[in-house]
Amino acid sequence: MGPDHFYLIKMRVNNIVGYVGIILIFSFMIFAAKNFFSNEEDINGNMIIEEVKADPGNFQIVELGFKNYNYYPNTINLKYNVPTKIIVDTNNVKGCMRSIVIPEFNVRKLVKENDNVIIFVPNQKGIFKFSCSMGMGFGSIVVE
Amino acid sequence: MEKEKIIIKLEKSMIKTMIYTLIFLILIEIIAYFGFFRNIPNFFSKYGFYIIFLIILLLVNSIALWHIKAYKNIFSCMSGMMIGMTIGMTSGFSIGLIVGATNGFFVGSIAGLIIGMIVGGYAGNCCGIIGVMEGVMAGLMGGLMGAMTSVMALNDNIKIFIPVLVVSIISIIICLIYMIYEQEVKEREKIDYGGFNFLPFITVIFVIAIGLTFLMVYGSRSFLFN
Repeated sequence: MGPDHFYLIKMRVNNIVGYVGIILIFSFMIFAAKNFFSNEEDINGNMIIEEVKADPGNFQIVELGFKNYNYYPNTINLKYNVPTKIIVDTNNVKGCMRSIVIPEFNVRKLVKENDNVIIFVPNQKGIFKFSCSMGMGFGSIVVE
Repeated sequence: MEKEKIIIKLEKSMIKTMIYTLIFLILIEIIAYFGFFRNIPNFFSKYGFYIIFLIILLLVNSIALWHIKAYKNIFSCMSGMMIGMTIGMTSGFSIGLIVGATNGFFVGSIAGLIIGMIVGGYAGNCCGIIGVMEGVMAGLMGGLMGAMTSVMALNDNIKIFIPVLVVSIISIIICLIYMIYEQEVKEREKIDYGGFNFLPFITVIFVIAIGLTFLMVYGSRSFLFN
């Protein structure tokens, strides 16, 4: 097997990849055109956003600090559908721990000294995780 | 004189390939948007912004690879290692960064390290096994670092941070292209014109671009994004 032989194999592989590419690109365009002209809605287009109405006056208040390299308290008990204020103790909670995420309740906030309150409504029952955005500090929210 | 002509021809060819590839990538992303993603609410802020930078980074990395492979001759070990490391790191980091910003650490790092290792190994192959090893290791490291960086920056101005990183990556690639010319091409007596055939080149880019776009939009996400 000389260098010419390798060159021929390389050329053949290149041609095959090229033909496969043409087929792929045309198939992609056909599928895209078919989707574009059909009336089917994308599943993501039908997203229903629930609006929870709650009495804004009655907040349940939780103070969140930092102990043993994690959030404290680590488990927070909340009442269902009652607006909640989590007041973060910024004297203890530092660095990336200040970026708090509660995905189920659409909470993602970077707390600061002058803005250390997270307000949300626990509109689902169950046990939910909360964490810093990197997942290094974490805990649970129990909604009953 | 002959050598100068080949170099000019090669650089012109690179610019042409870059323009065609850019047009192609923009077109397929527009087709993908109207064909598959137009009903997704807030598409631009959620994905479109990152897809723009994905296109830029794919273009820059692929053109750098094209440029390396265009000079057919075997490179010295030192240059090959530098090439493998730079391309592996920039490609892995870029993919990890962009996918990590939409899907989180796990998917971002997996996508980044797989593509980074393959591309880095392939780029480093210009000097033999040492370059391949360097490229593979840099791809692994870049993929993990890219995803980690974007997840860490999620709550800290990521939409400003990504353009800054993209500009840095582009400047590194430009330096690499200049390094190849300065260290390898300038001293040579004879230059062979290599490069890729356009069709296989565009096929690979198409598969990566569309694969990553669909992964970003429909792929599994870290619980931070649910």
